[in-house]
Order: sequence, then C-alpha cells, then structure tokens
Amino acid sequence: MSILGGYKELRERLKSVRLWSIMAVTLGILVIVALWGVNQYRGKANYHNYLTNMWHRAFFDMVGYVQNIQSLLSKAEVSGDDRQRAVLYTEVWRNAFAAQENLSQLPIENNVALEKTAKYLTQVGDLSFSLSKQLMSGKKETLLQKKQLKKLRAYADKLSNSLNELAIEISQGRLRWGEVRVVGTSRLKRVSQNVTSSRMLAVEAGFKDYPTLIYDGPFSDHISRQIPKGLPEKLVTKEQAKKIAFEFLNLKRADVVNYLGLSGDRIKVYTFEIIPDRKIRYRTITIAISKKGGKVIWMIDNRATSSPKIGVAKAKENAKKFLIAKGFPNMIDTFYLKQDNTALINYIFLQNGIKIYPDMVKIRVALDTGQIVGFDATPYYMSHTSRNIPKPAISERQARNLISKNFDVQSVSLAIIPLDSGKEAFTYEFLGKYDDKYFADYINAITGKEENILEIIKDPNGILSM
Amino acid sequence: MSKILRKYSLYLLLLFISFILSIYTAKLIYDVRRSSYEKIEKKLEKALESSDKEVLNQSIETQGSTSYQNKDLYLLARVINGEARGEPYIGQVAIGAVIINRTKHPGFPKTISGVIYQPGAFTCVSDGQINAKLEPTALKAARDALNGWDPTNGCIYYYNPAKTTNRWIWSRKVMLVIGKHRFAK
Repeated sequence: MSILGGYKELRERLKSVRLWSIMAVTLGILVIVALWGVNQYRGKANYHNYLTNMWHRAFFDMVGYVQNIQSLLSKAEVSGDDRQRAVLYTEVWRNAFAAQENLSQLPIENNVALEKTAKYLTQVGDLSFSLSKQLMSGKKETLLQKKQLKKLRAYADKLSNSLNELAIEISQGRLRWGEVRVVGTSRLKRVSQNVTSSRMLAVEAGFKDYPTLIYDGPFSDHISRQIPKGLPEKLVTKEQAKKIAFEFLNLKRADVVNYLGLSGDRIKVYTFEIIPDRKIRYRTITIAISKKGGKVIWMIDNRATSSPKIGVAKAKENAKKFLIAKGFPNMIDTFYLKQDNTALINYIFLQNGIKIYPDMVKIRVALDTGQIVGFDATPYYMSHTSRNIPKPAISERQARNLISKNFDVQSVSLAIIPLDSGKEAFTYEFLGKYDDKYFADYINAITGKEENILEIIKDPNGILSM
Repeated sequence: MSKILRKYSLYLLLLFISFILSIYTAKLIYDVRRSSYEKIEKKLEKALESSDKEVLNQSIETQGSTSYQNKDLYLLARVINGEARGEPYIGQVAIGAVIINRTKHPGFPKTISGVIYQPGAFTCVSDGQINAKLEPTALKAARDALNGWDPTNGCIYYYNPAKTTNRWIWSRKVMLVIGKHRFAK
C-alpha cells in the first residue's frame, strides 16, 4: 500500500511544473555541454590530423631523400665522367641536407637522441659537397675517398631499407605518430607512440660502428679534434689557474670564488666564477684558464654598464693598451660593434704587414668607464703559431685581373684567412665597393683561386663582416 | 489558458533565465582557452612595449647591422629566458652557447630555429615557457652567445638534475655545473 501510495505521490510531484522546469534546465545544460564537447573534440581532431599530416610529409620526404642519396652515390661509383660525378655529388649534398632537416622535425619524444643518424646525413652531404668542389678544381677523388664513399653508401642502403619498412607500416596505418604528450592519452595511443619512437631509435642503433670521417668540410670529425697551436706545453693545476685568473683581473682578493669545472674538447679549461665584491650587485666575472699553458682563454665581466661616456676611438685605445699588457703585441683592430653600452672590438695578429685573420682576439670595452669587460682569445690560441709565409707566386696585378671588373677596388693587402675546412689560405685581400655595398674579395696568392667573398657592413654602430 | 500562464509565469520566467544563463556559461567555458591565448599575446606585446622598450630600441639600433644576429637574436633570447630565468647570467649565456654549438655539430640541425624547434629538444618550447615575459638580461646573454662567448666550452647538452625525467640524458658525461644546470658532451 505504502509503496503504491508513494508512487502515486511521486507521479503527482512529477506532474508538478517545478520539477519539470528543473529537469528541462538540466537537460538544456546537458545538451549545451554535449555540443560544446563535440565541438572541442572536432577541433582537437582537426589539429591532430593537421599535425599528423605534417609529420607524415616530413617522414615520407625524408625516406625519399635517403633513397635518392643511396642511388646517387651508387651512380657516382659507376660514372667515369668527372663533370657528371661533380653534379651527382652536389645532388647528394642537397638531398642529405633536406633529409636531415626533415628528420629533425619528426615527433620522436626525444628527437635529439637521433644524433647519429643526423650526423651521418650531415657528413654524407658535407663530404659530397667537398668532393664536388675538389672535382671542379680538377682533382680526382683519391682511393681513400672512394673507399669512404663506398662505406657511406652501405649505410645509405641500410638506412633506406629500414626506413622503407617503417614507411610501409605507417602508410598501412599499423604505426602512427602519437600525440605530443597530451595529458590523458589512452594507454593504447601511448603504446603506439612508443613503438614509432623506439623503431626510429632502432634505426639510430644501426650507426653504432659508424667510422670517423676526415675530409675537407666544416662538419668533418677533425674539426672538433683540432689541437691548439698557440698554447705552451706546460700543464697547470687548478690552484695555479686560480692565481693566473687573479693576476689577469688585477685582483688581490675576492668575496666569492666558485670553481665550475674542467671542460672543453679542443682547449681544456678550468672555469671560475668570481664575485670581487658582494656589495656590487650582480657583478660576477667568469674566467676560463687553459690547463695546457695556463693562459686566459676567455673572460666575461657581467658589470652593469651605464650610458656611454667615451667613444669608440678611446675604447680602441684602452683595448690596445690592455692587449699589450697581456702579452699580445702586433695586434690591429678590424671589425667592431656597439651594443649594451659596450664596444666589442675584434683584433687580429699582424706579421710583417700581413693580416693573420685566424689569430683573432675579441675585446669588449665598457663605454662608461673604459674598463675591459669581455675577452675571448679562443681563435687566437687555436691557430697562432710562428708561420713561414712564402712570397706570393702571383703579383698583385695578376690577382687584380682575376676579380670581377665591376668591383671597385679601394685597397689591397696580403692576408691569411681561415677556411671552412679548418685550413688556412694565403691571399690578396681586395677591399672595395660594388653597387654601394662594401665587399672583401680574397684571391689565393699562390694559386689565384678565389677563396672567399665577404660583405662588409658599415653603420653608425659598427663595422661587421658577413 | 491565460489562467495557467498567469499561474506558472514565475516558473516559466525562471526557466527562461536559467536557460539563458546556461548558454552563457557554456559560451564562457568555450571562450576561456581562446581568450587566455589572446591575453598572453597582449601581455607579451605590452611587455615588449613597456618594460623592455629601452633594451629593445638599443638592440634594434645595434643589431640592425647583421641580419644573422637580428633574425636569431630574439628567438635565442626567448629560449634563454624560458629555460634559465633566475639562473646566474653566465648560465644564461651558456644555454645560448649550447644552441649555437649544436648548429655547428654534425648531429643537429644547422640553423638556430632548427635546433630550437627540434621536437623534445627544449622543455620551454614544448610547454610554452618560451613565450614568457622577456627579461632584458636574456637579450644580453643571447648577444654574448652570438658574439662567440661559450662558457660551456663546446657542450651540446644540459639538464636540470632536479627536474629531468629523461634517463637518456644522464648517460652523457657532465663537464661543468653552472647554477642549477649540468652541461654535458
């Protein structure tokens, strides 16, 4: 009875408009929230599709480029025509850089971990480019270079195969690029993402025994293994280095001295952080002293600089005095740049009137007090050595005939310049104007080859090269 | 009919109001994301306009000379700002130097933007910290790094041991420690 009565009562109440209205509102809200949710979901799906398409594009492009590298390299092995091979090598270079660019955009959780694959692609391109330049200057590949290329082609074969397998699985929908760490992704998706990532990392593992490659290019392995030419042999200890730092900075004592570590692959340095006076806020000097030779390699004084009180000429005077005091005679200033109330001035070594561009020291002068607040002699110590500079094999007049007639030469001097490959070239430096822009054109003083062209940018704040 | 209407008019009105209110709430929720992005953008613009005005003008003035630096300076400064705000100055230069070292290393993209936007390479890029308010020191540090100062002496990795969850990075050899960051080869 009571249940029936209760039911009756409920029916009565259900009929009441109050309850209906509440239900209607709830339903209304539900419908709206549902619509909003669907909208959001569609938006997200759109973004997801868009991103997946971009990733697929990057991936499939990369697979194509790697295939091209493999076939171009084998064509170059077959071809007997120097000019044809030069063209093929340039093609390899173009494909390799495009492949690397796309590789670095793949949504692997830690793309940086694909370092070896990226390195292979860089070096196969860089080596091919240097070979193409070599062929254009009339020199055939050596036996060693051919061996290197064959090895690199074998890697291209392997890489191409494993990428193709991946490509098939991806295009069949068996593998997917996962979402980029969206909170609350389902477990299934996370697994599929890990599969793609781990598959790419497996490809990376194929480069485990990758050889050291030495050739004439900026990404050759010898670049990071160069030995500094300008440092004395004697090794110094951490304590001695600390003393050298204090001497260099003309400091008797400091409030805080922190040792940051021993680092560097070409020049091993002890790095110290020195706070001379805790009362001067934010002023820290960081200084690095080489283990070999005990020289100050670089220094940054983070003193806040106020508005300029001296000009660039006075700054150069101070910098020059500083250089002489620190044991750098025969340095001349080249480019400079004013920024943050300081002037950054580049100095190069001068040997018998010949500019030695590789032996460079950078000095930064605070334009309020004229104090030296920055110093970097890394290039100087890497390359400085007593050089035996030969007599030029071609005369200035002959060299001048080798440059463009449109180039309005204003001054000529002899200079040694650094090349991308880490080598140096002995050149005539022609400074001049073309179309109201300044350029420096470098003609090899021995072979007559044009080694480099720089654009010189002059404006009120500095002179720079590009 | 009119009797019923009069009787329940209050309820009907309430129903109507709550309906409007619910639509309004839904719209509000829907717009939250978009507006928050707009707000961030506006804040950024403001920050760039006001507090850093002096620094910005200076840098435009001085950086106009090289397009290489001009193009990359702000991007580099943003990453330094996002990754190393509150770190010692030299630690900020070091972050910039790591990015530049990567462009010269065969295993990484060859441009500064390529290195910065490599997936998973920098936390501040993935979580949006790269858009945080730009501190003037970050710009100065970026300039020092572009001018060639390298406090890490050739390192290509770094991590904050307190924050990193990536086990792979721990396998790299630590060369030096600056502030909270370990710099590695």
